[in-house]
Amino acid sequence: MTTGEEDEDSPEELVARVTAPQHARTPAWRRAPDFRAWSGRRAAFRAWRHSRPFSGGLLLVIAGIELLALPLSGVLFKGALKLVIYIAIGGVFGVLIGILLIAAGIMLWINPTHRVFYAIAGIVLGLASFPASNLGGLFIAMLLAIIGGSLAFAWEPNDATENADDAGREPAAPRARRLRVRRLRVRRLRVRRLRVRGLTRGHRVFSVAAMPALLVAGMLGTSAHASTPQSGGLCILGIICLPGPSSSPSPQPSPSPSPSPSTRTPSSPKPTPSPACPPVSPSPSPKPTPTPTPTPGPSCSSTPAPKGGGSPTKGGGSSTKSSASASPSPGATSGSPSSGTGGEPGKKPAKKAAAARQVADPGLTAPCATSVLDAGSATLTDFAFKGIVHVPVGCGGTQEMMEFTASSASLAGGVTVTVTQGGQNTVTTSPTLGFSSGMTLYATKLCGKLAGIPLCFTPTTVSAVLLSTANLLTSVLPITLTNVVTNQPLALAGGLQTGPLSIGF
Amino acid sequence: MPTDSNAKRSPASGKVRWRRFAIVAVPSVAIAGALIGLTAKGAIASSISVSGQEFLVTASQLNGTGFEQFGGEVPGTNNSQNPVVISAIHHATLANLCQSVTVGPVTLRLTAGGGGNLVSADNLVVDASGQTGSVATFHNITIGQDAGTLTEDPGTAGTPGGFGQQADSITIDNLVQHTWLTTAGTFTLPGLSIGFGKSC
Repeated sequence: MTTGEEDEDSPEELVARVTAPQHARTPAWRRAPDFRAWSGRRAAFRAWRHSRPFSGGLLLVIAGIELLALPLSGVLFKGALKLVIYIAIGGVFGVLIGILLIAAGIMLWINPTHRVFYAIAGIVLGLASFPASNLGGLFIAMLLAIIGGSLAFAWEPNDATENADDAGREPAAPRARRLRVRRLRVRRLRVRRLRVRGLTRGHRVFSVAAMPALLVAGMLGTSAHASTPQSGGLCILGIICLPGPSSSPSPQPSPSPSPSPSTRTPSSPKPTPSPACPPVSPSPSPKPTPTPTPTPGPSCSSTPAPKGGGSPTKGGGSSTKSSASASPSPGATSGSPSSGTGGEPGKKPAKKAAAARQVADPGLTAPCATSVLDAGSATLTDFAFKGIVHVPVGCGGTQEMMEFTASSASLAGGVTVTVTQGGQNTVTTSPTLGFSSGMTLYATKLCGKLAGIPLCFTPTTVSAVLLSTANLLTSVLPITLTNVVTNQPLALAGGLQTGPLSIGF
Repeated sequence: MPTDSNAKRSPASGKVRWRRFAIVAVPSVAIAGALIGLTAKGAIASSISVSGQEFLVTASQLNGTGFEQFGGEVPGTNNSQNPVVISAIHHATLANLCQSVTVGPVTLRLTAGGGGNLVSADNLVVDASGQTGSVATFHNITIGQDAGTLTEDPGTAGTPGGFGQQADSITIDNLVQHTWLTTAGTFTLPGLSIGFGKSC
């Protein structure tokens, strides 16, 4: 090392150059870090850090991680892939931008030569994240990306900037002894040529700075169009789209009068949390059994109904519908639920079988989770028992349920729907529930008190004859049941108005 | 040498030129400000998708079409599963939306949709651990439908076997939700303001 090759080097720099080893004269990011030249790891890290736009890259990486964390923290921590389905396209943009920001930051470290490109890319990604991902990660990621990208853009290695700055101004006599100098000379020549064309360095900087503005302007123009396909369904990047389920159940309220009061069993059997359907084959007795049968879970019939209930005929079986009995069953008093059906297996009455239809509405499927609806009172207008139907169950098979209709129903006195699912109780409460515009209720069990007399009905205890008599009664005047308990309620209504609603666990 | 700071440089390092920094940072911040302003006016739709932190969402009224609700779980802290009620609304408008999340001592608060300019959201999915409302009105509701067969919000359904409900349209007044995860394909937030302060 003889003397500084540029005349305007400061004295300190000259000394540094003289004392520094030979390879120090090339920019550090162009050579492998020489860790032996430094005493400790920290010093080595500092050298590595100072030789590249470290802070800018770091801010970009942090911005990317923050963008990723907002939509994905649930997924990252637990691997709950199910959540990704819900995140859909909005989250995909956030993930994409986050990953690209991290990549830009890392590339700034390992490839500082192209720092301008990565810096501009980081700024543009940060700006794009504002509409695309959680308002730019709640502003934080956007600001970090702008600052980080600008820092990286503004970073320059000392040697290179010196020469670039000096190049146009004062060409010192370059020495052709070293490769680097030769390269510099080429660069200077290029700069001169650019100056001839009137494009100075300042102009270049401004033109580069205008790039994000142009890109964002274009982005804004297309954002309106880009957002439209999201509403179609579950689409990933607008390319891979999953079609939704086709048919929607159309609730068909058929208001026809008839009462079906049912016995009240306060100690209704606790629903089992297991979603699996017990393969019960209910053997209903033709006459109304006074003892309410405890049906702890959804009583799925083990044999799936023929043709799986795909095309159920709603009105087909209604001619043979059994009718409700308002008769108070003496044995069905509260607190004595005894399994009356289990004793006589295999005796399926013909009348009952005729009344049992496939499904009410196509697409109607009952859940396997157990659910109980409690209400202090229920006032039912035009209440009618329509018969026993086989409703397909989500976990397979079908389930025998009673079908009731009413033109309107008003539930009061603290309505509670308790759903037990996966060992967890979900409780929905409302002081009142008002069903209107026609209501259809399917249930595996309906209990209540009519004028103080407890009644309870299950598909096995419903009596066609008695219910038909009751239908005549209830068609005339609305009936009021108190202490209503309904198991596995499946209700369809044209309208529903709740009071102060609360859903919790 | 062009600048006075050159004397301090070590030979193998680089440094940030603050003039260059300003040349890029100033227009970028200006663009960001314009984006924020346009979003606050409701001219740009945003995409919202947050999870992993329970936050509070309130709205004076929610109107929605294509409503589904079913049970689910989201992973919580220390390996537990938090039961949630998942509400999916195909298209929703909200009045006086307020979201707040408390992280440590800081509460971040986002409000939008005041003064008659409704917030609108498409493909809104909310995983809530609790939900209350003063009055709720549903049209063409089905309660107790199998969660796997819900059809009101195409593309969203629960686990087969689970308890679900759906409705053509829904109106909830004075909605309060404790939410674990909110996603929406598009969120238009007129009158957006974000700040620190009290929770909703």
